[in-house]
Amino acid sequence: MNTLNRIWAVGLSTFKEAVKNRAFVGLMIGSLAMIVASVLLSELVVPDQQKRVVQNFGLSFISFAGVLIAITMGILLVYSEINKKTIYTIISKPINRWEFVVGKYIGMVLLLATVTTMLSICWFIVLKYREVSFRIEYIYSVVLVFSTLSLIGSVAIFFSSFSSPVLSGIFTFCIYIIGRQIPFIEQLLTARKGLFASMPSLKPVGNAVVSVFPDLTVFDLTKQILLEIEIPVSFVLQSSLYAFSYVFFFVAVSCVVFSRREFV
Amino acid sequence: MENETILEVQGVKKTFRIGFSRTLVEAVKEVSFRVGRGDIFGFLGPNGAGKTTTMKMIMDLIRPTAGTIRVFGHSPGSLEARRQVGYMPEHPYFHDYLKPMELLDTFGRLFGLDRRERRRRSEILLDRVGLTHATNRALRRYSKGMLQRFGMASALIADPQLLLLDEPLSGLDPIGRKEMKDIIVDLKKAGKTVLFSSHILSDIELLCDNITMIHQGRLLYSGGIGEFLNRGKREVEINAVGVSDSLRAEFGDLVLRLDPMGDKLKLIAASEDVQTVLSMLIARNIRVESVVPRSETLEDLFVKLTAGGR
Repeated sequence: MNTLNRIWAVGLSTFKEAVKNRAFVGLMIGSLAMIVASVLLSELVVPDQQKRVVQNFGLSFISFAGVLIAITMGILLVYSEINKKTIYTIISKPINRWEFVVGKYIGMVLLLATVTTMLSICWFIVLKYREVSFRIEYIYSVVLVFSTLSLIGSVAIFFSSFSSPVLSGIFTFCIYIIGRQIPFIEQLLTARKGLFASMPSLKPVGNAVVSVFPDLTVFDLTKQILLEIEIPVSFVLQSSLYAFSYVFFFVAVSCVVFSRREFV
Repeated sequence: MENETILEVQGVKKTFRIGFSRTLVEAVKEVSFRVGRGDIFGFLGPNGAGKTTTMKMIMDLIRPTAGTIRVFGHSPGSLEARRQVGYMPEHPYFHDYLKPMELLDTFGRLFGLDRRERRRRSEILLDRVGLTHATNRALRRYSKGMLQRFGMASALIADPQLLLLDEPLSGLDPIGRKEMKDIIVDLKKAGKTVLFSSHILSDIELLCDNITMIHQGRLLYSGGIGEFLNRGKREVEINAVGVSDSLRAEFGDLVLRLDPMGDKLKLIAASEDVQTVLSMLIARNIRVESVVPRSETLEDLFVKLTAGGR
């Protein structure tokens, strides 16, 4: 119980600090404005495509802005504690270092939940305005965007527990990009032409990437939304569990790294 | 009788590798001392002596390369130890966007205080450190001195038995320094133990029962401040009028220093030679205006000891 209280204490203060951060407020205002701007964007296309534009743009932008916020805040939340030496006053209190890392992550998850909820509400209002009828798949798609953000946030925290913000940002972004290309790499691995066909010695690398890196395309329901394909709730749960397994790994390794660190 | 040891630092060393060439630097070279319950303990040393490094090792922010540290009989990283310790780092930094009550609330939660107790103690402490007027201000709007005061409040949130204060008086105006010293004195009265480092030696001399002095990572002295000051030379300053040059020559080794000031003469003699010097002056009918005993201050001894190590 005490462990939970301590994790919650760090999580709550992390969340409070982050929502008041000017960088976060700026990103949120910009993101909300962009989703509203999708209404204007939809005016540029023929009337029967307007619904598709707000559906596609809104969901893609929630994901894009969310990833941007997850990477930025994920890196800054831990790094700034160390860089600005605020960590001295926290980890000198009766708290285990792993509890601090988990608390930081929980604070970021609260932040990402807030981001996803606010942007989604804005998106739903835009959909309503464009007279798009509500479907449960919209909620599912938002839940899966949140899973992606939670995963990316854990990767950012992992890298920021031992490297500089710039490197952490680059590494996390690389994992995001590779994660978005997993089906493409799988295709290349089985194709008769292309990179792996011409250089078979690279195949083990390709196989390792496909096995180790998270496939982030499983969280992207944009196509299913546009094609109005029904999605079973079990798929959402399975995908979320898949994201959670990566989150567990990255947060656990961050805890180990952080426990061994010295704060000179 | 010696009081109960609540902090024991035994043969602690710390080495760092710095720079591109990974050069080995010995920041602390075998430091040992003990702090007893109820002591006000001063930690002295010039810049770069290893004071902050030692304090960070006591707080488990960094780990010793060799040696052991026990806090209330526990390892420094244990929750049992930290529950009883309040720490204020040098130049404390806090979360920019949080307000003091919010951050004290977080710290109180980490100590397991209930909501009412957190609020009560936060209000009392902010009042104690003179920040009641600034409770609605985010911490990024605080001046250096205000952050220092807030640092003291945050170290005291759970009424700890042992306080580790790294340069608590730096960055404060004279009133702030007086208030901070009053808090330290009050803590002693309440039976708390305080270990603090400071460059302001007069404050250490005024407040501390015991001191540990380190220089270039090496222990120079650890023990009672009284015993330390007694190691210093005891001298006497004699002010006399109309001392002739021939008499001056007669004093020889009896006088450590002669400072002529017009027709007056200031003589500095070792305390055991005062009687002889005075007899010589009186025998020649020389008027003695004053006889003032002088002992070396902590600053004199500190400078002497640390200069020897350079």
